[in-house]
Amino acid sequence: MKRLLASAALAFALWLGAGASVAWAAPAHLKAHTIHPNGPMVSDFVF
Amino acid sequence: MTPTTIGDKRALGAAYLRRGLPIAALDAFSAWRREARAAGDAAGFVKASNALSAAYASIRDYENARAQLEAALAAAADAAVPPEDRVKARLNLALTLYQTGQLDAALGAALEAWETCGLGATPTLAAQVQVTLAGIRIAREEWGAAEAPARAACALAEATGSAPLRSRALHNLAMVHLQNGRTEDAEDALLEALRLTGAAGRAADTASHLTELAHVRLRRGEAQAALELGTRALDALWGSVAVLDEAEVARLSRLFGLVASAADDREEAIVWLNRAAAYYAQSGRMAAWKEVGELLGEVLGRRHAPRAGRLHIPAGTRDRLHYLTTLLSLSDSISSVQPRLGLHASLVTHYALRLGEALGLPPDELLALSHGGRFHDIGKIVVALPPLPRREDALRRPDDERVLLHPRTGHEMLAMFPLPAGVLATVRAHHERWDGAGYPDGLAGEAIPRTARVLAVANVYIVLTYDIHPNPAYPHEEALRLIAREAGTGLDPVAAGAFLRLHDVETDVEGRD
Repeated sequence: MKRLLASAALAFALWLGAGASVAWAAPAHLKAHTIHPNGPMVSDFVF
Repeated sequence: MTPTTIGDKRALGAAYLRRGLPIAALDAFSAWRREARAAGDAAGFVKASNALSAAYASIRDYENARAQLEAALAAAADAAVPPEDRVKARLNLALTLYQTGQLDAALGAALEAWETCGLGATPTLAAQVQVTLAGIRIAREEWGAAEAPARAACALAEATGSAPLRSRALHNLAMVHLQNGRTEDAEDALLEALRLTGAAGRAADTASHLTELAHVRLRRGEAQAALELGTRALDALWGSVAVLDEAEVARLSRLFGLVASAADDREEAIVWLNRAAAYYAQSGRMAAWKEVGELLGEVLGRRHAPRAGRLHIPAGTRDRLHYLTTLLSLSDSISSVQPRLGLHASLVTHYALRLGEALGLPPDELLALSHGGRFHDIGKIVVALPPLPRREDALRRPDDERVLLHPRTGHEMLAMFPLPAGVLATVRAHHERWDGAGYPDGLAGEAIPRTARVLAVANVYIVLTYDIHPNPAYPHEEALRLIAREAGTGLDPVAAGAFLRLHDVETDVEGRD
């Protein structure tokens, strides 16, 4: 039961944190995400 | 030599780009593209657009890169455009989409690039397309579909003999191996990737390989080895803070959280996983956020964590990660008010480092330029100013009293972190003038730290030339003339002179083409 409560509290805290941060962050299309969370690599630009 | 022909502008832009001078390259490539368009030369227009997109990408301006490429692809149906240039335009478009997180569209563009490869492409270009395709598949977590391009990229890259390309291809293949439980194959591939990247390779590539290798070790239950590799990755990133992406720091935070969790160090795991989760939430990467959140929930649910397994993250590593997380997230918050401020800071840093290298500055001063450049305007967050500098303030003392406060405030903010004194001094003095009429301390001549004098030249150049203002940017040549005029009055004559010589690429142009 305690464990369940802890998970619920955590989910709530993360949800709150995410909401606050998303409102504060730049619109996603304006942010350059050069590194993806799981860290693959791509080529350089070519010309 | 005054370049007048289209060929000259192409060669001139390429020479600037090779020297790491993207603003001058943008000017040259833009002129080439205008001339090609005016002459109705579709092939030239596509080539120039590809070159321009590469120059924009080198300063991480993916919005502009994309605009060039979309126009190029509209023109690429013309029969006069060689298939190879069409492949390049599609690959570049896939890269801009990938870098801005639009993975569906990126996959579409990369697949089209691969189809066009069949009409004609060099082995190097084919390898570049396959590396990108594998990278996009992995970012989308399509592990089954990632394996074929990851293997094809390795085979093609090996045939080209290009070490950076081979190392990236191997990196992606290693990720597929690791995902499929083939830890030994993953380790072999990553060790080879590290060897190929070598000491002279890009710090971000080295850090990426090291972080992935840490995950391999972690999978084997070797937490201490994973921690050491993570620390080495952080060391590699520390010197390249100029181009450091918050996502790289978040990846390391996640790694340290996983290591701490494996070592049953509950408190440590919560700190690092929470930092990674905050970044993923802020950047809208909900899949990564959910994954880290679940890990966090699992760690929080452990009630009787044994104390014996406590992990020893070195204090220096902890401080550095703390500093990078805090400052990068602070500057990201400023960017939410003015999204192009991040570009301003990274351009200033890039040029300050190029100038510092040309002047032969020692490593500690280059480090001061790197960190001082990235965070030189951080003080503006406290004094409630529009964060972007105004073009008219580039060369004279601003009227607004609040503007005069930001170097001092920035210095005080950075002083809260364990940074070398050179970084703090650089930020504080970046608006001092050689003739003593600057601010905040009114220092003159060599009393101003050398790194601040170098940063001032780069700052003036970027404020004048980069198009972040409502009024149009100065052409590169005109900005150089103003810097020449200010040498010895507003700017350090040695630094200003070296900056002008840095742009003298005639010998490079004549050496090629």
